[in-house]
Order: sequence, then C-alpha cells, then structure tokens
Amino acid sequence: MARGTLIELGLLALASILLVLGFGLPESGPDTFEFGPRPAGGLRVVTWNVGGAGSGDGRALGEDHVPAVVETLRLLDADLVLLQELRDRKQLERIARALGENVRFEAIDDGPDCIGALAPRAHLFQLTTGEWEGRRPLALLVHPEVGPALHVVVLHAHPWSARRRNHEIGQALDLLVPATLTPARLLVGDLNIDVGRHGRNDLFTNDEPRDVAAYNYLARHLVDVGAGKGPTAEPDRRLDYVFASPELDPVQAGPWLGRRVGDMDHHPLVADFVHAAGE
Amino acid sequence: MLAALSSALFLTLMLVGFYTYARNHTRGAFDFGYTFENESYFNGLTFTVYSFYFGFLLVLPIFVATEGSAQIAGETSDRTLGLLLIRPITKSRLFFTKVAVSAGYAVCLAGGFLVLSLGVGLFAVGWGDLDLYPGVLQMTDRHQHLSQSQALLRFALIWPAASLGLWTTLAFAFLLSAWMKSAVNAAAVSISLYLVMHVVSGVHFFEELRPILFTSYLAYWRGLLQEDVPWTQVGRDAAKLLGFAFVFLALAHRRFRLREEL
Amino acid sequence: MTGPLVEVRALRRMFGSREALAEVSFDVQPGTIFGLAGANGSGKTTLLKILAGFIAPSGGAARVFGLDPRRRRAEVMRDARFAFAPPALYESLTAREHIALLASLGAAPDRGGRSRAVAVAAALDEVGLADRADDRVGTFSFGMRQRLVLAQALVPTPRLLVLDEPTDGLDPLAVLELRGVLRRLRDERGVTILLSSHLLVELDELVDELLVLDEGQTIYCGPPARLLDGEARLVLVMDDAARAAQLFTRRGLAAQSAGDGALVLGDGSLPLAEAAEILRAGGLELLEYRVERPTLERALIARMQRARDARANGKQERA
Repeated sequence: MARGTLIELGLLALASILLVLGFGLPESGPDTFEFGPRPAGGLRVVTWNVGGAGSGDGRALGEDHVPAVVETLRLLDADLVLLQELRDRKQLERIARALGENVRFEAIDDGPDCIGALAPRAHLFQLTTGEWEGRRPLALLVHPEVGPALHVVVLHAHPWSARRRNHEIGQALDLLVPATLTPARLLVGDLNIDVGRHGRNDLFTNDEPRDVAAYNYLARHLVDVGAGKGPTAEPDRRLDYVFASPELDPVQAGPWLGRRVGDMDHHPLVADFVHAAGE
Repeated sequence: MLAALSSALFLTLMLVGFYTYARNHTRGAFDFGYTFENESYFNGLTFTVYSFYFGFLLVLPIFVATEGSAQIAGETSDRTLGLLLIRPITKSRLFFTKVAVSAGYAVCLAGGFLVLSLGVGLFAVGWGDLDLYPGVLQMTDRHQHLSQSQALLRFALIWPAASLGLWTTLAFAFLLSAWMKSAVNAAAVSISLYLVMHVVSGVHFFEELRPILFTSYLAYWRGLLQEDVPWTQVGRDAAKLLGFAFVFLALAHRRFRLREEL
Repeated sequence: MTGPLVEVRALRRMFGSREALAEVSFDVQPGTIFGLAGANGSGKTTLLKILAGFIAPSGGAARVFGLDPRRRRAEVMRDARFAFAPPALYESLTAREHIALLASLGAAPDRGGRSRAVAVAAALDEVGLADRADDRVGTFSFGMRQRLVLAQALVPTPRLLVLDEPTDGLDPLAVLELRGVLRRLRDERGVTILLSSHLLVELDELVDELLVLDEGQTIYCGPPARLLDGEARLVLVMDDAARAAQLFTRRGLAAQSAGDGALVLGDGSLPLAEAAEILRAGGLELLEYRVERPTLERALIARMQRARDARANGKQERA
C-alpha cells in the first residue's frame, strides 16, 4: 500500500476516534436535581404554575386536578407554596383546607389568573403594590416559624409579549429594592423567559434580547437558585424561577419531576434555604 | 501585515461601538427601562470577550481561509508549485510542511488578536473583574463572575482553544485549496462556505443540520469563561473540531497527492 | 548505471479525446545532449511533465534512472533537475535566496562536494547573474528569469538536466552563452541534458540526439545529421529540360522542373554519372549540375509535411 494512502488512513482513523469521543460521550446536560427532605431549621419554598396546557375549562387549574395538586404539595412538605394560574381565591382556599386547618393563605385575583400563597408553617401578610402596569404580582411579608422574616414577590409574567413581561419583571424587582425591607427577599414565579447558551436565535422576534435583558437585570440583584438544574416546563423550557437575595443560602433547588399532574405543562420548582447567618 | 491592520481596524470599530452602545443604554436615551447594562459592568475584559468573540468568528477565519487557500492553490496558480516538486521532496512532506506553517500562523493570529484586544480593552476601556450574563452572545447560562486575574488566566487558556478552532477552518480551506487551481477562487469559496455554515449553525430552524457542521462548535472556548469550566463539554467539542480537521486534511492530502500538475 | 538515463517506450497521453502523445519511444544516453523539437503544442511539455512525474501516461512507460517518475518522483529528483517554461519564481526573494531556498528542499548534497553558498554563487556566475544575485526576482526581465531558472537547476549539480524551452526570451548573445554552458556541463561535469525547443536552429550543432514531435507523433528520432538523409537534391541543367524529364520518367524516375532549364532529382535516386549517360543517350548535353542540401529546418518541415499528408490520407481512407 502506498505511503500516502497509509497517511490518509491514519488521519481518518484519528478523526474517527476523535469524532466518536466528541459525539459518543454523553452530553453534559444540566445537573439533575435530587429531591430530598427539607433542611432542618431551614426554609422550603415551592413555586408552581398549576395551570393546564389546553385544559378544557380554560388555562387555570381544573377542579379535577386539585386532589393531585394537594397530594403533591403534601409530599413536597414546603414552608411556603406559591401557585400561579389558580382559578380563583376560593380554589386556593380549598387547597389550603385540604392541606390542613392551620395553613394560611393569601391570593391576588385581579389579573387574568389568580396567584396564591400557602404557608403551612409561616404567617403571611399581603402587601399593596401601588400603581401597576400589566399583570400584578402577589407581594408578601412572610414570618416563618423558624428564622427571620422575608419579603416575597410572586409573579406570573406575560406569556406572549416580551416587552410586557420585561416591564412586569422590572417593576416586581423594584418592589424588593427599598432598603427598608427585610434583607431576605425572594422573587418567584412563572416569569415566562427562557434564556441561556442554547438560546434559539429566533430570526423573527426580538424577544430573546428583551428576555435576556430582564434576566440580567434580575441576576444582578438576586441569585437564580434553580440555574443549571434543567427545564421547569414542557417542552424543554426553563420558565419558572426562584430568585433569592444573598442573605438566603440555597441548599438545593430544582424542578421536582416526580409526577405529572393531568395536562399541566409546568413542574413544581423546589428551593431549600438556610439563612446565611445560620439562623 | 494585512491581518494586523484589519484586526486593528476591527478593534477600533468595536471600541466605538462599545462606547456608543454603553452610552445609549445607560443614560436614559433608551425607552426600555429595564434593559440594563451599565458602565461598571462594561470594562476591558468584557470588551475583550465581545471583540474576540466576533473577531474569532468573523474576522480571523477570513485570514485563515486566505492563508490556507494560498498554500496550495496559490502556488498552483503562480506555478511555483512546480519549482517545489522538481526537488527531492514528497508531496506528503510538502503538504504537511505547509499545514504546519499555516497552523503556526493561526496560533500567532489568535494570540496576536487576543493580546491586541486585551491591550486595547484594558488600557482604553478599563480594568476590573469579568462579569458575564446570559445574552445574545450566549456566553453563559447564568451570571458568571471571574476576578481579573482569573479572567486573564482563562484568556491564556482560550488562546490554544481558539487556535484549535481556527485549525479546523484552516483544514477546510486546505481541502478547497487542493481542489482548486486559483488561490482567489479557493479563498472566496472557503470564506463563502464558512459564512454560510456559520449562519446555518446559528439559526434554530437548521437544528438538524447543526451537528454535522464544524462551525457549530467553533466558539466552544466560551466554556472556559465559566466559573466552573465544563471540561467534559469543552473536551467533547475540541475532539469534534480536531476530528473534522483530520477528515478535511485526509481528503485534502489525497487530492493533492493524486492530482496531476498540468 | 551504464544504461540510458531516460527510457521511454510507446508512451501515450490522452487529454479527453485528444491524443497529446502517440506511441513515443526513445532513450537518453548518459553524457549526451538530447534535443526535443517540435512546434508549439506538439507534445514536448507533456512529455517532459510525464518524465517529471507531474502527470501520468495513458499508456506505455517512462523511466528515469530506471524509476517510474509518477510513483517515485522524489527519488528521481535527487539526481534530476527540471526547468519548465515559462519561468515561475518567487517574486519577493532575491536570486540568491531563491536558489538557496530551492536547494534546501530535500537537501541533496552537491556532487562536487561544494558548500551550498559556493554552489549558489557559482550557478549565478555561470548564467551571468552574479551581479544581480541580491536583487529581488520581481525586478528581473524575462530573459533574466530564464537564466535564474537554469541557475536554480544547477544547484546541486544534477546528473540529468531537463530544460523546457530554455532559450525563450534570451537575446542571441545569451543563447550563444547558454549553448556554451550546456556544452561545458556535458563535457566537464558529465551532465546529461534533455532540452526542448520549438526552434530547431537552437538544437542544431548542440544536440547529440534529436526527437522531433508533431501533434504528438514521432517525426524523427536520431542524430540530427541523419535528418538530412534523403533530403538532398540533384539539380541538372541541360538544353531541353522537357525532353530530359521524359527520358527520366521512362526510366521510372520522378524528375521535377526547377525552371531555367533545370531538373531536380531526389538525392540518391540516381548517381550523377548514370544521369549524364541517360541524357547523352537521349541526345542531350548536361550543361551543369549541383547537389543542393537543405537546412535542418527545411528538412524537418519537409518531413513534417509528409507525415501530416500521410495522416490526412490515412484518415480519409478510414473515413
């Protein structure tokens, strides 16, 4: 065999090995979130858009799925549950009662859907949000049974308009900025933004730059505790977030994929914290 | 020389763009209240990331493709290849000597451009830590913070990593150079095909096609700017790029070895 | 090795349906100058490129130093040096750098044991470029480039030197000098030379053997002097040329009128004494006679014309 042919075969063999290595090794995807018991003395927060994708009676949570939601929330055993796309305040109350007699709840019901908060082990105080443009968030002062109080804003940002959700996210963060608030702050909910290295480079809209700007605005003030733990919604999208102030030390966070409830397209996002000061 | 001048011009334009962008987006001239990048976040290291990213994907490949095309097609059209082939040197040796020289050129080009970007960035824009956010450059999935010294070390790693990316483009140019008789045609076709593949790699509705295009992996060195470098991913992409390069070189070598020098 | 340095047997090369070389055969013996003549497009450069291993033959075989140049080009080039026309050079190098660069490729040692710098200087001196050795090639005239191409071929001194149209662009004095250089290379250093030219006059008196190609066909192969064989003419002048022609025709001899009472007979067709006797028997007196020898070029043109006529006739018959 000619020496030149041997050289070419050698190069191709080397290329094959490298390509097999490159394409064959498993993709290093996001770290998977391994759900565990809530940290002792810590704080577990769950945010969940319980609306159904294409549910027969609208986008809000269907009544037939309420028992499954209750069962899941019992299993997750959170201190603070923040739900979006509820049908109304009464539906939230039914869920609260199903979880226990002492479960406190608050809701805001003046948008296209109802946003609710449930606190099996905390006291809740709803705060006013003043003048608002777009979908109004639920603003809360939360006093957990253990540890200091925290301010929480729950938002379900506009699903279709990047411009609107950008404003809503900005305004929601502005609620948490004043220095008079407690240092521990959370901004949670279905923010409807999906950014990252594998962005879609959509040729037809400028949604991505706007969403990126919104995400960056949040990321400069708060810590995205669920980052790198994979998608929170189907198909393969990360739309649900828990942004926390540095005073809250995340132990673990990520979407809980244990069970699909009906035709819902979001998973519950679980975040466990301890206070940075070890309180 | 031309490469150095073009790089300097490119960096000047980047500097102008950088400042006008920062001014427009931070002084209230922009009506989009929550779009937010400010001057404290922009510094010399951010400038280097931006300019090197665009330079690496759009400027350096042009010079590398031109260099690769000139090596065989240029000598063919100038008929100086005949001068080399009447010496006791095999075509394989000639081919790999040219590959080695061009690969060295790519390393110098990447290093020179990086140093120039850093120099312009640090002295004209300013020193500081490197903060990266998810964005249209898709550098990162989440906010990354690197201290200045950490960032400079990462840039030192980016140099060989980016050179490897340029080698694949170079090998592609060699392949066309071995097939074509004119250096101008070979360079034009190399650059055109590179740009087409670059665009296809970046548009989401070509996602079925992306994995088989080497241009999809060229900016793999972005991983080196993460706080925790995803070494497996960086290694995978580097392996793919080298694999593509060896395939191109094998085909180019075969063509060059067997073709007739009319 | 005492056999021929170059052996070519029934060599053919097709370009599409066009036959650039047809069954060409010849040998180049060591220590000789072998000339390759033919009009532009006759197949000379194709033949030389096959010998250099640049292109493959479509049939037959070519061997240089007993090696197949297509497969073992690098080995062939250890002792052979080719210079193709028109000269291609690296414009940005000086003449000295140019030769030194090319000589460094493969780094074959000089046969005379000279250092490379000495060999480069000697080669430049040999072709008359010593005073321009450090000038950039880009500033050279065509003739100077031609000389530089020859100079680079001399470092290190090869056993076989193959030159394609080496006199193109040279002034008459330079052509004369080139002939001197080539003769010295053959006589003093034992270099075997194969050179091609479309001008036969350049090969006359220089080459030991000559191959003439026309449209890829071999017209002639042998010593140049033998090219004239059969091409001389016997011119007879008598008082009645028309009657004399009849007398020769009756004997089966072709005699052509040359005007002014002269007849032309082919060389060797009839001894002079016999021709005079035929005329005397017919009552005619031979007034004057001479043997006319054509130039090498005229002889070649005559051969080419006959070969072309024969090919045209052959084609007609096939048609």
